[in-house]
Amino acid sequence: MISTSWTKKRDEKKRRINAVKHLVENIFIKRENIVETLQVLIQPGDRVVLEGNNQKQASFLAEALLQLDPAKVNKLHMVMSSISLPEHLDIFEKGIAEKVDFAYAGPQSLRIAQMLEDGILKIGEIHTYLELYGRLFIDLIPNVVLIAADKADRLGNLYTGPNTEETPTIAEAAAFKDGIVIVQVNEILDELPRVDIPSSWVDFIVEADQPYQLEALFTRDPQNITELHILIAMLTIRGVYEKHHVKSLNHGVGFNTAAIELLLPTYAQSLGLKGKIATNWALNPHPTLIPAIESGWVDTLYAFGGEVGMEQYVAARPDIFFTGRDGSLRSNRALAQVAGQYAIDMFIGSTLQIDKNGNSSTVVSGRLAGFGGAPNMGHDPRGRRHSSKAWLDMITSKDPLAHGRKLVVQTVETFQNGNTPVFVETLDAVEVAKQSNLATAPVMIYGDDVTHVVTEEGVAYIYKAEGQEERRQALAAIAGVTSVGRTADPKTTQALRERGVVAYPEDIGVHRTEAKRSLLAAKNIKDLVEWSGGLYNPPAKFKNW
Amino acid sequence: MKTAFLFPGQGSQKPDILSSLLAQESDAGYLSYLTEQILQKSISEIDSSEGLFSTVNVQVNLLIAGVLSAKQLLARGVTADFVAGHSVGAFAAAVVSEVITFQEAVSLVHHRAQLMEKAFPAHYGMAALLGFTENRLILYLKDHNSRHTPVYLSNINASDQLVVTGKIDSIAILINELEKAGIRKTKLLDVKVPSHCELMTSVSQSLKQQIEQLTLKSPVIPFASNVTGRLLKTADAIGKDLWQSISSPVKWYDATTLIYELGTRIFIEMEPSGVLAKLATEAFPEAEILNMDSKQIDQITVLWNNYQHK
Repeated sequence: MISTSWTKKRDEKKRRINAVKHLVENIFIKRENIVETLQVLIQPGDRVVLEGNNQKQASFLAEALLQLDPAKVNKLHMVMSSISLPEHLDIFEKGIAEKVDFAYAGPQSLRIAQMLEDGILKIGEIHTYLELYGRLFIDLIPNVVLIAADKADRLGNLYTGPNTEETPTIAEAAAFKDGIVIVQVNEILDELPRVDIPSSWVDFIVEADQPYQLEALFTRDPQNITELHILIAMLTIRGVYEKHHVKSLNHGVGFNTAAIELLLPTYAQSLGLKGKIATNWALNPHPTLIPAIESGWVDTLYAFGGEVGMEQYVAARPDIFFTGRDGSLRSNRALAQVAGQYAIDMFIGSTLQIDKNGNSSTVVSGRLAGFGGAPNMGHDPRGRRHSSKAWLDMITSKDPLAHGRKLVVQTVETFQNGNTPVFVETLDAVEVAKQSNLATAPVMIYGDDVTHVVTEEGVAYIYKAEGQEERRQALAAIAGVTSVGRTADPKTTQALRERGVVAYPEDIGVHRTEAKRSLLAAKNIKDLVEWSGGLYNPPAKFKNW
Repeated sequence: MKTAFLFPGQGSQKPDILSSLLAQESDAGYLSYLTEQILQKSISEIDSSEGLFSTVNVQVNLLIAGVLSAKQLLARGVTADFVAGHSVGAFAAAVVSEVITFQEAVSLVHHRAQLMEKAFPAHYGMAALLGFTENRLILYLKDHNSRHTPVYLSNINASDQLVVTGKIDSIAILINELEKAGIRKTKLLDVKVPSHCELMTSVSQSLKQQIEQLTLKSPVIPFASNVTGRLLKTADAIGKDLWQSISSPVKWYDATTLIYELGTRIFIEMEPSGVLAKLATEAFPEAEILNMDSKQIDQITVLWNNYQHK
């Protein structure tokens, strides 16, 4: 009888670890041995997760990976939530890796499209964050993961601090399925402020020569908020937040939503909305939310990741933020995405293109930017069973089985940068799918998930529209002088306004002339620092005083 | 932080640029001699405002200005990780990347410009269009070209800044159609040659023969392509780009976006600077943009060194 081994992956892991004994001290890889060590721990054809998300990068390990000898290590299948650094794609040019599954490639979106076209890499699928995390436990289980932490202790426990983000999720997918977990740390200490990942999940640690790369991605300078943004923000506050009693929410990163954050303690306060809207958030620690927090608007905030400069402020406000025993923020991208998908009343964001049916996309021709997390939050999760006032408010039928909906709101100016129409006949995504041979067009948010679209012209309550034709008419009514907007029929628009499917500013008590920058609770970054009592410490590039 | 040198093309010319660049140059005599030997014209002639009415003079002028600007920067230790030249600017980029010699470039550009001038003497031109993306314009172009003399997309300078080329009367009709469709701005350019479209295929073929006779060297600095928007790292690929470019659209937006994605955060536009620097400022708000000016080379060098430590 042939005996079956049930420990093949475990045995292979042991074999590789034994083979690097001479290059490591216990679990610590000497920096100068990193390339030689990786060359043994990673084998041809391995599935490898290289930690890179839109803020934090395992940059030292990315560079080390690039130095591997492609004659020894090749055909790697990379799994990366975000392709951000040039090195992330250089490994394909060098012949070390050949296939990639990813969620977001914004900072490398042209190059990845070119490399796909030139046959230098193969793309598995383009995901949302949650799908990619999910597949790490199903059919993209890694052989090796390369991750980043702030600090390690001598036992191998890790401190990931405010930027914990997706590190524990990636580690878990390898640690409990006989994958190898390799961590770069900024420093090694005797005692950690707190343990975010226990040592039993970790196989190897290397102290990097430089701290991991970290970008401030969620900082919007109020100086760049225009009166058009403010008008749209006013319309949204009255026409969506107030009307539907939106209490729990996520905001995108654009200036439209930054304007809303800065109007809460001023405009919304004057409407008596404090405590009635926008109390519980799934959000990165946006600096533009500081005035609302300081004015007592915000009850709680759960974060996907940290934000450079917000560390001290967050640590001083534990009633609002999730913090560890050490006092600093604990973020978790996977859990925050789940919260943003299932536990909030509303997702609101912006986009580059909306077609006549309300489908939206940030994809432009010749670029493969992927999705990130917006589609996770920007859709109605039909598995939801708990109710809230806003959710129930979306019911439009008298069916006894009718259920509520998440509010999915798009706020856009009808012309991007004053030049390019946002409302279009057909999304560029359709052409990109053809060019890049994708199975489906890369739509960011599907029209049938969108409940509201807000422009400087007004609000379209498209969840109320009856049938596709009426939906199109509602969108056209707020699409300004774009080609879509010019298909609007004045009589139909009037009827839609009467039925509350479309609202113009005067219909919801918004005066265009009041949309002034003086309404902003903070007009620049310096004001935000002042609101924070000096606790917010913006990165140098935002300090222009 | 990586640095790219950008070399401007036709439209950027300004009188007296060469005289001020040559004033700062230790090899001035030698370079003028070389140029004058090939062209049989004096430097002052191609540097004057009257001289710049001629396409030939303009193109040679831009080549020399580009090479001299880069030479002065390099001499002060300001180095480039990438070079990219817009249209004729690509020849200066190829010299700086050491694929062709200065002398070879002067002959090539002289030849190229003469052929261009002769190919279409009248009734042709170019127009800049602001506010439409490439995808959107192509729909209108297809429709227009099914009914009129073809107009070609010849430059993609930014996502919403395009240039078309063809017969002037046909361009005028297209502009009228685009204005009806709500385009933000259109402008007929002061260029009489339908560059960067298939009407220039014969010029490409002639340049190809000339380039194939040269011994091209491997680039010492990677070169961003006009034709493909790719990064080119071999002599053959760059040689091909130089002859193909005149009959293919300039993918400037792709070429510069690619080097930005590859880590460029400092763009320096060679003299006469302004046009490409403005495009880079709009496309890459996070990057540092410098305008080369031989009279302020010391300040530029200091700024560049400071950016290295940011």
